[in-house]
Amino acid sequence: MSGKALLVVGSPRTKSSNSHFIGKYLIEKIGERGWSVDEEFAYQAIKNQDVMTRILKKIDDSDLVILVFPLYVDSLPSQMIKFLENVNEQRKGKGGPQPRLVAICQSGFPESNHCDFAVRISQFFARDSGFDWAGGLSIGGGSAVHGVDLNELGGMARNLRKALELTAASLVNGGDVPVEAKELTNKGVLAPWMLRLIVNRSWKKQCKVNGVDIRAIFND
Amino acid sequence: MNNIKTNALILDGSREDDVEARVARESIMTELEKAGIKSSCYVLRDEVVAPCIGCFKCWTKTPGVCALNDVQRNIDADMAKSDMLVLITPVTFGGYSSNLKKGMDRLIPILLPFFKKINGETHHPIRRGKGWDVFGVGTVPEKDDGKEQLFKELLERNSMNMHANRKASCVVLKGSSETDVRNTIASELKKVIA
Repeated sequence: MSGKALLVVGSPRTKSSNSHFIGKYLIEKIGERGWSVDEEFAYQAIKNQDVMTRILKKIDDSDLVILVFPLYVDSLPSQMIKFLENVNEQRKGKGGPQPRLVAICQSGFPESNHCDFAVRISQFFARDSGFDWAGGLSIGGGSAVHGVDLNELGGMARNLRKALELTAASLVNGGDVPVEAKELTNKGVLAPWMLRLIVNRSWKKQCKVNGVDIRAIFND
Repeated sequence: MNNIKTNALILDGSREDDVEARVARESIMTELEKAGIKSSCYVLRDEVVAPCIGCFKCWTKTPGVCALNDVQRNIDADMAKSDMLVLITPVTFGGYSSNLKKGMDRLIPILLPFFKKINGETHHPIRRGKGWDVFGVGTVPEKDDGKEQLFKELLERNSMNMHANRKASCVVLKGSSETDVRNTIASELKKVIA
């Protein structure tokens, strides 16, 4: 079985984002199984109508569309929502074959469940916009990816890589995101207490370098 | 716990043709005024608010102030002075519209970057001692229990991260009479301001 998969990255940091590195790993695994794969960036589409038109055409030609984005205030980033609103406007009520849709949300929080709302929103988007929902993944500790290829992250990203490999294997065979993959991402990248410790030290260090008081109150 | 409110920030993420959202906003402002609460209101479709770029400078370089210099700095300053946050939006795939979300994404200067375990889960502490009570209104073109449920759960989730003592939300069906919208708002808003 072969097909076409399109990755749409919904981070303002585009290519250097953790979301991109996670999505890239997944579509590479899909590509290794004989599928044609491509990637686009939602933030570029919002700024440029030609890019939006190009992505809409690619969506029409795809068998599988994968959205990957960071968690912003319990949901998708505003520009990713705008992108989805635009896609919905063009696709609602449209006949013909329905591409399948997968949503992957990653956040810096150690627990993956923070991302569940964004995945559920993506599911309603799929229903309203002529896609077949193929499932979603909530990923905690995404900041640990730190703009690095997942292959270079060693044991820390073992569960994440395995989850994405299982997802790729299932999707190319017409299946959904497997339960085993969700269970692996639910385990997180690091133990919550350890991630909290590392992250808190990192913020303090950055503020110290910048010579600012991290606890400054509002400038009103 | 002291629940006396003096200021509210209203963020309206509705579209221009959303009559019910406009009625809801006017009704909220009237009810707040009756309760002696001052309000600042931003209709976000009319404001040029750049999207959050995830730079985190509001945490590490200019704590409490967004690096992007536009009207959102005024919104954040009004948020700092408020006791209550009001959100108005068309229910969009069960969540918020992009118009509302652009304002919400850039409220993160109110938070501290640290991770803290709260009720068994990791959250950000807030930059001041007192949280914000939250009231949300969503409009829907037709009844959809799944989306309405998700909208209400999402608002609950936001309230948790705003460290709210009180929160309430309601969903208004498009085509509802002005009287029905006003009555619904008055009844639900009481849960937060009474």
